[in-house]
Amino acid sequence: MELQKQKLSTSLQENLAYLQQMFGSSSDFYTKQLTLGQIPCAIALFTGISSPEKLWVMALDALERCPVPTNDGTQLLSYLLTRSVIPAENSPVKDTTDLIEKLANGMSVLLIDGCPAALAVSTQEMPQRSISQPNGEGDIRGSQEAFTELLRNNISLLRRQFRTGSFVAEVHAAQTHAKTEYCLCYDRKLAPPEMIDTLRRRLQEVQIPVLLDSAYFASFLKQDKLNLFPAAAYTERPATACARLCEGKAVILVSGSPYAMVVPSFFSEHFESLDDYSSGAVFAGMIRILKYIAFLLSVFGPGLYVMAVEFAPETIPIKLLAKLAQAEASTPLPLMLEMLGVTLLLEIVREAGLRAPQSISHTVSLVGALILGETAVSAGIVSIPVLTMAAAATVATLAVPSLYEQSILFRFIVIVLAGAFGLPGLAGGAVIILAMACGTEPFGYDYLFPLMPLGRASWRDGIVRAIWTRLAEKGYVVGKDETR
Amino acid sequence: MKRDNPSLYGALQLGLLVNVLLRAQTLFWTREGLATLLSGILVTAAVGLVFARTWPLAQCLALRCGFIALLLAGSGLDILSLWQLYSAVYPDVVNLFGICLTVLIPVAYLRRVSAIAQTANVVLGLLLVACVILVLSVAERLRICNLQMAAMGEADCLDAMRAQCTLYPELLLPALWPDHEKRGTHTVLRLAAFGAVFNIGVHLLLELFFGAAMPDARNPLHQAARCGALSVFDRLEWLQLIVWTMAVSVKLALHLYAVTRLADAPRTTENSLTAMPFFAGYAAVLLFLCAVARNWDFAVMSQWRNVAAWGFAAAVAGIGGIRWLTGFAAPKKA
Repeated sequence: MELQKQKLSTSLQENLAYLQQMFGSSSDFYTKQLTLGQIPCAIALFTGISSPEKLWVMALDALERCPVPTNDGTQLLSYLLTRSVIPAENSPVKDTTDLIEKLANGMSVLLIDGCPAALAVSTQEMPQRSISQPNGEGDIRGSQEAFTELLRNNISLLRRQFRTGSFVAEVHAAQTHAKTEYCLCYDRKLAPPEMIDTLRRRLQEVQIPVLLDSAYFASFLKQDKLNLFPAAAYTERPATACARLCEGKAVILVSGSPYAMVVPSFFSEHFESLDDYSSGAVFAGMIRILKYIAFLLSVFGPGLYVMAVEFAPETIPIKLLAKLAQAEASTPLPLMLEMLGVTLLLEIVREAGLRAPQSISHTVSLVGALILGETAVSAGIVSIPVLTMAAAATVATLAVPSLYEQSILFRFIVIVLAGAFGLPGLAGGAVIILAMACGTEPFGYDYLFPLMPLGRASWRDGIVRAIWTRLAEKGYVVGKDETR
Repeated sequence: MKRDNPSLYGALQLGLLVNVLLRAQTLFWTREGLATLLSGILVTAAVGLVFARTWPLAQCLALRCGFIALLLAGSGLDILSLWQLYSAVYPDVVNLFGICLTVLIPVAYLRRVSAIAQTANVVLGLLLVACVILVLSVAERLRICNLQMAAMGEADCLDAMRAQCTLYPELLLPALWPDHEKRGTHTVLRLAAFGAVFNIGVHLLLELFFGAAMPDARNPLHQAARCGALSVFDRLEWLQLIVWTMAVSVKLALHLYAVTRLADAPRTTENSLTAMPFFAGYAAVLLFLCAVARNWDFAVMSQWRNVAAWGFAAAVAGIGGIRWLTGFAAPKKA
């Protein structure tokens, strides 16, 4: 239910009564009446997210030492806002909606009798997780800090790395029931203004019941809902987010989520990591190519195997074919079903290992991977080559973790098409995936940039990475390198 | 990196290559082809240019429907030729319905101009790589002595000329693009030259490979690819087939876009998606056409398609010319 916006009363008691009605039943709601000069006042805050000690140090102590030079509530507010040493918020709280928002944000509010406005002081002290190492983005070198759940902390982590006057961090409240805050960060000089305007507008238009992660926005930013490629990239590293800001991209942080969303996101970004730029160019280039091969293997490997063994054995060298035929002869299921079954089983094991309590997750993985696999082969239900191929594809998927969902879905599509139609099915699957990649247009930009169209940029920092002296010559910025 | 103005030139090139790869492979000897190359390019490019000039003047409901029919027939022929190829290579494995599905489903993701353009560029690149692999894999079987040395006959030259003057819809399609005038007249000329040179290249490869037996070979390019070997891979024709199938899908997507423009299907912007029901209708019509024509004589169908294309281009040129002479409408300025 949307609360009705109403002006604050000049009567302190009426304002307090309103707050009591709203939060009186909450045990963490705290009010204390006091007198400043001869004016009755009251402070209100939520213990746990706001600190009375901070309030004392920042405001009340100072007020006690300096006598208040007025007996009028409105003049007192004006004095506190403009002439006192109290580090209050710049604008006074004038209505109940603002009052509730300020309290919910962890601020302390000073209500003054005779004044239809209140003073907010930033005394937030939220319980928070300390800054730790990122869990999902393994890098050997570079900063090891990760974002946390607190929005202000995350902004400060970014600002600490991005020390220019052009860095902008716009905080907005999302249209959710909980009024969750999100922050749109960008570099004013580098990010294309039209892209930022569009992004700001689209984010403001988003209406969802709850916003728990920046990824919730992704679906609303997608142009083609049938397309499986992600519309945005995610990072939990402030360093990576900072690097993206330097490329003219925008970073979206959501309160309560330790993941930053980066838009626009390109396909090649999923194959990049911070370590690429710390290690030598040749090694980094080799690793990148390996990642591309791993992605292709994870998507097409099992489907190609099914197609080759079932429909086009001539594609396989004869010695290998003999071994495969021998292994497949003893299994009862059609090859497509066998491959689908094993792939599904591996996914179930992975999901169970991920969701199960940590104490038993290792057992789940062990039982799934070793015992089930071993017994299935011994019982002759699945063949060793199928198991090997499915396992190789699963491991290859982990080389590009940010495209995990897509790899799994594409793998199933390719297995089904190749198993049902053979060679044309595999070709159809390849075109579908290619068309999805080519059809993705994050904010009108080529998703495959800089891989396609193949040019100098592809070899500079795309398929491989050039040496730093060449990279430093001209930094790549979104929208500044227009090609058709 | 910004997609302001996607070019469909790559898709048109790909369409022309598909025509050569799936159909026109043993129509003439290389020497006769080279002798008539220039005339072939000039004739087809001239027709394409005249068509591009006269289409804005001549277009009417009947001609639009005629063009749609021509494109649908072309799309149907492409699917059928691919099916025939697969039937010959993998008999009893894939049926016509399966081929239709595998080439039409991807078109659902190619309903945006920029997607067609970008995908076509990638597939074109893959196709060229596949061609290089084909040549490398059969290199040791290519014999210079296989080139035909008999004196050039008038009939052979006429055959080559006729083959090179085949009017594919890809040469007419630029007239439909909204900014074709801005792209200049060289687009059609480049397309005609590219298609003709590739055609000659394929004929040269086949002549070097088969020699005098070239005209008798069935699916000659595929047969040649079948004999190719690289390292441990003894046979690489599957690689060619996969890329050809991908190319057919892109070509169908290009035709769908052209049909959408001809049918004036609602589009909010030039690069917006073709409506899903429109795509479904296109796919249903193609399925129906393929089902009806599956047993028809393929060579005759191709000839009729060519005759229809020439007739259509002549009709458009005639009507457009008359209207231009009578001042019915002034040609658009670039």
